[in-house]
Amino acid sequence: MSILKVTGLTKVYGGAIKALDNVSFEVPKGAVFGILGPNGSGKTTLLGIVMDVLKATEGSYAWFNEPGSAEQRRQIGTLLETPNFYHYLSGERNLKITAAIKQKGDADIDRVLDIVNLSARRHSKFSTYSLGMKQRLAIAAALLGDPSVLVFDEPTNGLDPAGIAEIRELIKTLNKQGKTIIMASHILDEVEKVCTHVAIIQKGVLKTTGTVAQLMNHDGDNGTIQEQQQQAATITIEVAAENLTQLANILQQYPNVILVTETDDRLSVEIADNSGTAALNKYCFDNGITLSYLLQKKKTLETRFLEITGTKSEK
Amino acid sequence: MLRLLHIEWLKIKNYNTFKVLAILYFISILAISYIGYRINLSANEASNNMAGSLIGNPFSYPGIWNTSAFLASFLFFIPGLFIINLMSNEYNFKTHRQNVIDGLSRMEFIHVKVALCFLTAFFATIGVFLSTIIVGALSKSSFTFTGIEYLLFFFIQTFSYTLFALMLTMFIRRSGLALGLYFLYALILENLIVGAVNYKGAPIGHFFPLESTDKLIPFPFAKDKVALLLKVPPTYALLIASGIYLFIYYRVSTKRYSTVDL
Repeated sequence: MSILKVTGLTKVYGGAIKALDNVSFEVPKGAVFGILGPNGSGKTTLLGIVMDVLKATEGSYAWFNEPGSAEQRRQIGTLLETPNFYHYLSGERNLKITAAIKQKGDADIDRVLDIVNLSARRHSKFSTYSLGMKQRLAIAAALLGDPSVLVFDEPTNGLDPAGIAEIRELIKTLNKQGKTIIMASHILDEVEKVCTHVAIIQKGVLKTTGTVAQLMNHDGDNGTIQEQQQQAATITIEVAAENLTQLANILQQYPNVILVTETDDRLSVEIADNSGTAALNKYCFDNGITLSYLLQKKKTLETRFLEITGTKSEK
Repeated sequence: MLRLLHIEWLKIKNYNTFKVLAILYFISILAISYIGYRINLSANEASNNMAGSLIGNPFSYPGIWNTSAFLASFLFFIPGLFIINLMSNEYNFKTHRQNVIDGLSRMEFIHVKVALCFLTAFFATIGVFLSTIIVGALSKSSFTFTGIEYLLFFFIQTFSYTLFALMLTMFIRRSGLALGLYFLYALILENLIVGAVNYKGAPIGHFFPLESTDKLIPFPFAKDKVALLLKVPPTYALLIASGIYLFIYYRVSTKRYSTVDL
């Protein structure tokens, strides 16, 4: 079952600025779905539309295969953009309002305050909270009533390193409990560590979507056209042997080799096809060299992301 | 609706601005009639009842209904301030988005605000009722329900002012600017326009938004003589106009809230 399905979402601000351009994707049940994109790429606009605080210019969305409604939103825990609470009320009283809106009762408040370590400050006014505490209160509000779907927009915003690690653990734990998590972020490391699926958005255009494995793995067959074009590009293999100079000379002759560079005590070989490590090993052995080290370098999400979105920041 | 009002109650019950305004408003409603009564009393004593023969008995039944409603309507800025403060808080804290995200429908969010305007007007009307009973007892005139329709007019007037304030805040979003415009329009601008329009001929100026509800409650002192000077439209026409304006405020507010980006 798909938890969220967006179809052809387009959002135009002020008749000129296209914040979203015909975006379609699907979030499967049980996924940790990362929406990834540079600053200002349309992530928050997208989540705003599916939470009904923004109106799409075109396109539609469906939660649980049904058109959006207030009833559905009560079953979804959402933290969108910034923690929004009544400044003059305590953390606990703010959560009572959230619980009343979600029709969940106050019984769950103690539990969620414990999860985010805010129990000690529950009676302090929201206006006295630090940035990190405000963020944690917002996460607590999203967890109220133990919803099966959670939407987090930049969940680790304003948190210290320990807080960031806690939230990551929390997301993983929630996912293990079978919950679906939709998370927008521009922090690649964060997404790589917790997400099972990603959608990459740039300037409102969906660049690619799929599982993280598909995105990272060159043999993935479900990728978009752009992704497959990228897959045809290059691979990098790191090798080492007793005599690096001799190895380098031989590798220069290797078919389709683009570049051989020496890094530390290894050679890094960039090859313009996808022949893999076995062929390279055999080639070296046939030429009288026994490799002491052989590793195909996995691309990190960061390198993939930069390949897809380009390396320049948006102006 | 009770569920929604309970949520609103959670928002304001620990809000000091609300408590102060509510208590201040209620006391003021009771006090303003009493102060008027005392002034009238000393004016009569000082002038050997000359004043009384001129302006009548505005603090005895049945005129007292008109008088206390008229005096309390001078306090219109307090319920206006209350509604503007409440609504601009939602924008300020971005809770107008969060409430929808958490599971209120947009219509529920705006409907309960309209209900708050209604309740504000309702409780203010109860205040006017109490002040009438108190001052009526002090003036030792015999009680009558004749003239109680002025309480209904007061209710319509206050509901209209608060709903107008709500609509204004939904467009302005900022409390300072909304308050400034509200006072500027209600105190000065509309009166200037009404004066200018009426001066030119037929008294259609009395059909302006706030003016139409103001005119429901006439100046209670020397009522007969003032009525001769002012050409006030008949009550039924003013009631129709007030109803139309209330409907417009409601439709504009709900329409805007259900279609705009929050």
